[in-house]
Amino acid sequence: MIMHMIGCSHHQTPLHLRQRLAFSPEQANTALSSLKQRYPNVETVLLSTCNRVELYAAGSDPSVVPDVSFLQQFLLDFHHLNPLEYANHLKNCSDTAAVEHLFTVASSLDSLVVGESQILAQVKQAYEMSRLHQFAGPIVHAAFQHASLVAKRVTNETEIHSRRISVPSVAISEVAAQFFERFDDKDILIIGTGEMGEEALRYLQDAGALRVRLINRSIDNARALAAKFEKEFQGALQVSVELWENLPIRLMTADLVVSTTAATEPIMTLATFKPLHAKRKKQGAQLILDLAVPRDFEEPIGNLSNVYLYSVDDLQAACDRNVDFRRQQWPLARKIIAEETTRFLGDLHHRHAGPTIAALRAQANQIKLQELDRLKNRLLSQGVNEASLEEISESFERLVNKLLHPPLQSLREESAGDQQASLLIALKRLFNIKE
Amino acid sequence: MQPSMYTTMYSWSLLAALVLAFVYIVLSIRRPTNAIGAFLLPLILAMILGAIAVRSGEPFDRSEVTGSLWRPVHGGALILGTVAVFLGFAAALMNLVQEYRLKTKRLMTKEWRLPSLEYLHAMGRNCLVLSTVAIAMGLVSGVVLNVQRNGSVNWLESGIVFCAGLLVWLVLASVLEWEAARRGTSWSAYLNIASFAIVLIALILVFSTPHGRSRMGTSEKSNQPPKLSDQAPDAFSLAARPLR
Repeated sequence: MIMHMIGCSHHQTPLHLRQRLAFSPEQANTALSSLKQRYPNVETVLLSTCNRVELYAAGSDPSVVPDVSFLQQFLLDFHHLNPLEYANHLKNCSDTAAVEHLFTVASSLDSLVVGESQILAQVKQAYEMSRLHQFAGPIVHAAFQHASLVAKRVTNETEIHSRRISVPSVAISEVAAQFFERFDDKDILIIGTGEMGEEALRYLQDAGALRVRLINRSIDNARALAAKFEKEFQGALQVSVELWENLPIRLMTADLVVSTTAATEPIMTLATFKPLHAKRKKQGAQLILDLAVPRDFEEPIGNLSNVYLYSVDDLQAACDRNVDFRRQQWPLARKIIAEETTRFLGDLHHRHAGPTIAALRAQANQIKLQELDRLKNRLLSQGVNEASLEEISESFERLVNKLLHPPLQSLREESAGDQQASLLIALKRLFNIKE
Repeated sequence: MQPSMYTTMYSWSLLAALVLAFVYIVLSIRRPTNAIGAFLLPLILAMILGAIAVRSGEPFDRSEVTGSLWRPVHGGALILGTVAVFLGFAAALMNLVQEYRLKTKRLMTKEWRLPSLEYLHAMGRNCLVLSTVAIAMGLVSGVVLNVQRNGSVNWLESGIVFCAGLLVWLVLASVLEWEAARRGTSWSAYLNIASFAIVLIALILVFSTPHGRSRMGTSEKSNQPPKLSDQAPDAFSLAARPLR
């Protein structure tokens, strides 16, 4: 088996270079079709995400797979890019290393945010595209399907995905969950309709919130976001839009406030908030998650009794701790990947060697039968009985097995190693095997 | 000959510890990721130590009210009330720790995670209400037992006074809790801690008086030690002792 991986990622290539090398689905289709025309038996997958562009090329024989330098040139030529500019920015690996890299990528260990779950979906999507357009073959099928299994094993056997690391996700799933037992009966207020506000809405829906009030200076933006969510969640999350003027009233009743505006000054000062807090009739804590930079709520507001104010800085510490925790899971995840790479290559080589082994056995069996027939005829004429003939037949069988055992054993032992392909070629030549 | 089980302060305290341990097991199963044991187990141990401390106490006098349904109600209600106060105390401590950590932005680690502030507050409030109802039931059933036995109630008897005092506090605390919770969940926690302190004082006072024990000289058998064989072997009533 031959497999090459050529590409770049956030590790060694700056964003502007990655962007120029990126492929849209249509471009990927065109590129792989063109490669298929030149190398009809090559199996290819092109993975292009915002953090990486990787071309996988595989085949059963070195003759059917273009070499690394060709593939590198092919990628650059497609986008008319200068090879000198990318000289130090393209990575390549082959065979065992390529398989291990694929498993590492699918398990999200190579991601910018270790443990993020999006990459597995992107790997599956790239493989699916390749499969649909018949760029994939048995090796790619096996490798990419096994990559999904490896990613699942890493998820199940390590805690690499268990802790959230984005600010809104930590704010809702870790901080708010320590205040509130449930979210379906809470009065939730989101201030601002930016990216953070939208992400917070998603996590709130995940956490079980049923009703959310949305306040924004531009009511049109708030209505657009509310409509988007109503449509997306099909009424499971009721998002009501409030006028900006109602902010003080809503602050008095809200149990959870998520503030994400782009205001350059705090929208709520201590002097404004204090009278609202005094008028608050509700029991229980009021949690304010200030996800805006700069702050939307003045820091001293958090000193009021029953009010808990968390800023991005407070949440970032939890995010960093979770990132560290994910890193601690690395050795275990790497061990799983190493195990699975060995197992996958072993299985693949074993499968690949199967027809050769069968042909070798058939050939040996045919020679044995020919020789036995010739001997039987002669011995029968000399009056040798059936029992002796049976014994001779068994001896021939044992002889063939003993002769074939060492080469087949070597083949089996090398099934996980890189030498198996050359051993197979040698075996075919030595025994003149035609599969 | 030793008194049979559940007929002394010792066995009453052990039964209360057992009920609290059962509550702990239920909570541990329902919330396996929360470190509730760190707060409840010391209380269970304290109850057992308290039981050992009153081990030598005389058994309850049950000779005149044997078979009365009010006896198990009295003992059971007082156990329930005491356990609820202990549980409320544990919830209050957890609430204060949780509140302190959340206020100072020290988020819980996975290994040291407590229930949410909302859950702890609800638990504290429910314990306060439950203990009030249970102690009230204990007081009423004790009064009924006194009437059944003596035909009248000595309202100045130490057990009744301590129990009534405790009840007054619990009613007051339950009412105050609504306003306290609005000011902050820690106020509600302080009420539970105060209730715990008052229950402890009440228990010590009751245990140090002859409340509920055999009254030498008032019975026909006053000149003889109480016959343990007179005591019904039913399990739950052991905890019961009539107020005098």
